[in-house]
Amino acid sequence: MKEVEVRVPKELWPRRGGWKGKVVNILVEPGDKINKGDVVAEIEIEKAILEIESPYSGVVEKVLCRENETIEPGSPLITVRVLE
Amino acid sequence: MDAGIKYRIRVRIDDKYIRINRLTADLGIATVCESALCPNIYECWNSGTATFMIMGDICTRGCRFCYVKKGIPEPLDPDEPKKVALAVKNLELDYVTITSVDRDDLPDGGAEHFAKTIIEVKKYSPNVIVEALVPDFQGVKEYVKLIVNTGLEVFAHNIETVKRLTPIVRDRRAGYEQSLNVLKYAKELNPKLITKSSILLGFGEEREEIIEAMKDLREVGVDILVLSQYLRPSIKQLPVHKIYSINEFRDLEKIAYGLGFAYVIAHPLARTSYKAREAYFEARKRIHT
Repeated sequence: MKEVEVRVPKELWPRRGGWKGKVVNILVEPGDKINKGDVVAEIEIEKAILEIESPYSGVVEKVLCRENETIEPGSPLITVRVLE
Repeated sequence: MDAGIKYRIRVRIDDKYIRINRLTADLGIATVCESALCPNIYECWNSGTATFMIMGDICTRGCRFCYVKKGIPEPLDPDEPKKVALAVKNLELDYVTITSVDRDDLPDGGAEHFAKTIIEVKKYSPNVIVEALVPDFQGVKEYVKLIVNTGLEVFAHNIETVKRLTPIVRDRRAGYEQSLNVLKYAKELNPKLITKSSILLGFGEEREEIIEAMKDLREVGVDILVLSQYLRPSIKQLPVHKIYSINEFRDLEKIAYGLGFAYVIAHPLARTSYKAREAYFEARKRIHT
């Protein structure tokens, strides 16, 4: 079983980097079983609230961000132990 | 005053999204989806479509609602028409929307380059339907003609806001009448051409002013109307004065149809190119029946 990070995707408006947001809601905690496509965190930017999906199925190992923390593309959100 | 309500957007990065990202980055083509922090990028890219933004990613105008970078643009890339054509072919698009920054630094506002791009796209993909969302070319009919003569199917140009707020919302070189004239010229030059325009709501316009703007657009023959909610991209742009309810959008949509638009997209997150393919086919059907 490998452990992977779920990050704020760098593919979000990929060539218009430099935007920042704020974590407004972390929807998982260590030990939670999640499926690919589940929303794990919500990020507020000026324009909207972004619901970030997990690209992996597995078990949440660690939460790497805090509510109200400033984040940008690439910022780590959680780690997931991927179920093979 | 900021209305303070925010829409939720589900962020999902699928294979098609990654493919568009790679292709446009490799070819060095900008997309307005990225440049404007469009809230619909996930929906559109995941479904395999994007709106290409030509003539660079720096705009010569400073409209106060827009997130596209402002400043002195790079010289035009003479290979860009071919690059866009290759991207359209590679993505196997049957409908493409192309827009651009404003290029007031060029004598023709970039009209010739824009026209070349459309022609090249049609050369590589003869069956593709092209929608161009163009700048005002400073209201010069001759430049509008260059675009119309490419044989594109949809000519779009946005008035963006109501008459009274135009000097506040748009760059000083833009004009309400000038934009109406651009749309009028396009229709006069080819009455069969479908024309389209968007109004962003939430800058402080009154209902009667929106209706007046819709009437003005019908007066110059506009077929497709897009009404959407202005969302402030960053604190550098104008604040949102009002968030419209879905019922208010429905009310305005009904009025718009009553004024004779062939197709109306009235939705908070709609943008000019949003569901453009569907809008075109619906408009076409209604115009011909």
